[in-house]
Amino acid sequence: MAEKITHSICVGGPIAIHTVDGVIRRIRPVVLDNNDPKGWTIKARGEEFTPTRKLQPGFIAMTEKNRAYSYDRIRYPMIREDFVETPDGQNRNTEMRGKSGYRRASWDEALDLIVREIKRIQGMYGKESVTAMTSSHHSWGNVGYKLSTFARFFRMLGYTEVKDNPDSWEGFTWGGPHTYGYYWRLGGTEAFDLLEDALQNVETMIMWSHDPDTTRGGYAGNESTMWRHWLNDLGVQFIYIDPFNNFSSVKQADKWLAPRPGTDAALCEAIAYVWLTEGTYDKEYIAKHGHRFDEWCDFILGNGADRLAKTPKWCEAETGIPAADIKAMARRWASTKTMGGSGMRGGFGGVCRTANGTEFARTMMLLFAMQGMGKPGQNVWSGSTGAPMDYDFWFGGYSDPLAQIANEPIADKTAVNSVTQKLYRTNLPEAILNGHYEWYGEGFCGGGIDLEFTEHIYPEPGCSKVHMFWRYGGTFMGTMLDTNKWVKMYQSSELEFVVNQDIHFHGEARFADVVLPACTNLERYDIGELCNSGNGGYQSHSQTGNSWQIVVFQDKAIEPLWESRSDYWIFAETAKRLGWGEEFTEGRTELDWCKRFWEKSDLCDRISWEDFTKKGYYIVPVPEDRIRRPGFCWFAEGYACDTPNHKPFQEEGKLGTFTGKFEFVSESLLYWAPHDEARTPIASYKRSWEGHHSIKARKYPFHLISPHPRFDYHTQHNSSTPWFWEIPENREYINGNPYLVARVHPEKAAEKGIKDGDIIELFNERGSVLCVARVTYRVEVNTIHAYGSSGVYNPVVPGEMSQDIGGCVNVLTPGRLMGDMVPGMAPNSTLMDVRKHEDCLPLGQMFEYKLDKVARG
Amino acid sequence: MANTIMIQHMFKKDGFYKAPDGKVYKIVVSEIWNLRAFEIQNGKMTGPMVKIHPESDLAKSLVEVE
Repeated sequence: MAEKITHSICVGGPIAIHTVDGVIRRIRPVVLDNNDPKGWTIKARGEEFTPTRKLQPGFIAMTEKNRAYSYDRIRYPMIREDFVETPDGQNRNTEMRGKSGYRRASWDEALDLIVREIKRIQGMYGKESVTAMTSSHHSWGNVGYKLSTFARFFRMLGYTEVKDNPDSWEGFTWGGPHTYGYYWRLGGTEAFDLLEDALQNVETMIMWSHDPDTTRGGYAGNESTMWRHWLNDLGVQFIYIDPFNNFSSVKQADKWLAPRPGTDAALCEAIAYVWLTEGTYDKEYIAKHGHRFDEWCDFILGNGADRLAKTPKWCEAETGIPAADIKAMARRWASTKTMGGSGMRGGFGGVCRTANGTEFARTMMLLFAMQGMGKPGQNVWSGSTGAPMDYDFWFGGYSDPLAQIANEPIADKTAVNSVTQKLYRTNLPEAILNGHYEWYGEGFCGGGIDLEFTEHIYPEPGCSKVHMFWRYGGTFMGTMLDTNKWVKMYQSSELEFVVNQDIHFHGEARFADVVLPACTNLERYDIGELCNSGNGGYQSHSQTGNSWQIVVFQDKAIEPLWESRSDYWIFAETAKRLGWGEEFTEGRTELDWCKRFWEKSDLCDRISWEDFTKKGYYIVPVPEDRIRRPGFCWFAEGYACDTPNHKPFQEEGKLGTFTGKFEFVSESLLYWAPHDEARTPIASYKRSWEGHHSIKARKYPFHLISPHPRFDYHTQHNSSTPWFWEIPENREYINGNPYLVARVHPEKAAEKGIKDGDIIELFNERGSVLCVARVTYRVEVNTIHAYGSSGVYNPVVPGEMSQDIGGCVNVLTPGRLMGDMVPGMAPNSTLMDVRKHEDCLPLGQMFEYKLDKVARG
Repeated sequence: MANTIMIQHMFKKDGFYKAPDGKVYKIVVSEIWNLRAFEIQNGKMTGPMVKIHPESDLAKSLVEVE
């Protein structure tokens, strides 16, 4: 009974894994030992603050054992039982995808079939006829991550790339750069050293559509939770603005304001109105750093084209927030040192995923500008990033081209995709079903504002349409919009062949012709740094969301379970069958690739490979004599930018807008999109195309909000981690099925005859979902709250656009993008109705039997 | 106060620079704290990541090449 302790990182944070006789027995946080460096110290208001000597993963990380041994692990390769390998790709019973069962196959049979189909389809139509797409996130680790192994294989193969949309921060990506630049951070702001600034100076925190204990700083686990407690202890007041009195708010808020969903930009305008009429904004700062401020003032004060003054009373009618509360908040904000933001990293909250999310992002940024953004205690900072770190240490994150096995210097030879045709993730079903799709933008437009306006057409002139789809990673049925359009797409004969490569048998895997079982990152080697999404990639230095900077050797804790294999093995074996296996691997094993990351980064200067792999992690010390350079301070004080990840023009003291200033009227929008009604040059509140002013609201009077989930990480936990189903705030077992909780205001519940614990049906013209009612004053009266991206898609009739009982509320969300020229998704602009479900509950839909039922022997 | 080293004006990210000893470096990180490069041999990035202090003799001697 020898116990082995290994380490890993998952999307919930770093973990230590205790294994006995090849079985995982225990998962626990990483506790630092005496040989690890001491933590940073911040002196503020007569006190000293330093992190505890234990990493603080989110609770989802503590369930990795349950997830690894999950009931729904895909155990062996499977082939759809009524799939027919016809020579022309036709008559393959594609309409049965999602309905049919599977037969067990050997790896050889499955991979040989895949290779035959790749050769047939690419030979018949061209290389671009194959497409492949990853989930929003995949298992942590620089070798296995989607931009690494997956990208290497498909670029070498040649395929139609599917461009990601910035699904977590749409409004900030498509709005922020036009107001304050930072396109290279995809609209997100810089938070360098702002924890220290906040501890020393801030008096009020505005947490706008922000639930940091739930969203956990992205990948940082609960590393920042203690910081917000420190602020509480210092007497800082917290104002939470959210239609849902979220889990952070209920424990911390001094005041909770609940706007009607999608009206937050109106609240911004009314706050500005109070400041303008009372003269309580930073006039000197605006005179120096604002562009066309007077025109915006005219608009706010009722002297603009609409002749409408954006008074608190007007705002009360729009948002439902009493005018007195709006004035009180505006006055507190103006009279105290105030920091805040929307969602983790300042710009991720659910409000930016509404029809006018860009306008909220822009007007919120302008409010912070009006109070002197960058001055001590005045900044966009939302309490979950900005810790001290050693910026002089370099280890790549997953989005960093230098830290991917697809590229040099990790690989000897960079893999280059020979296909230029592209697709866009949110509208992949429309493209496949209609055979044509046009859109603007590059998805992630970090290279320049102009990239938001590039025009794309599918199919690209001279190119073939797509006929093969290789789906990789967790399900999109729960995370993308209007789920049922994905059902239609999968059942289309346009897709002659579909592969799904995943760890768990999520709802989407069942739409494939061939299912390949991948293993978790506890069953293979990898290497990664906590919360490093890329030093040089988008939103670089995101490790400032951690108290500790830690690089982990993700040792193999156990052998791959059942017949699952690592993603690297699957792609390497496929490449071998295609005749370029040696080029793909360059002769390296996964462990060899891990070592490449060590030797091509600063890690090799700090610790030997042997010591690193033996200890399992390396803590990067923060220099005691570190120089403080708070984000935006350079701009406020007018000296050359001295924060990391900046652009040359910032060294001239400018922002990344056309004028280098905060643009109250956007010159970039005037240049590229002067007539766009969704995102006007003058930042302003617009009524939602699916909101309370819509005609549709007469039939569907409730707003659905489905923010980032608390009990899973996109696709990764709720479906595959039954431990979470025991949490009453997450799910409740009724008749054997764990129904997702949906929160309803007591007033509306009474009108509908709904009691707490009832099964309720959320529905609109796009579909219906059964949930369990939680009747609570924690939601705005017109709002239904149910966490989105549950990863659980469980239709009553598989393969049909039928009622869902897994809690996949995205069957209700609109597929419509924010605007014709704004390719962001807006799931929080969903109208629906609710009723008590009084029919018989579906039987035989319990998750435990889902996989066994379709896999035949 | 501001650091007066304008690294991004001195070195273009992804640019190639030649040292007096004939070695050619590709700049892969150009930030206020970080100037990093890989030596280029036969068109490929080789060896470990090279950390160049922006005020070092090496930095001052580098000449941009196509």
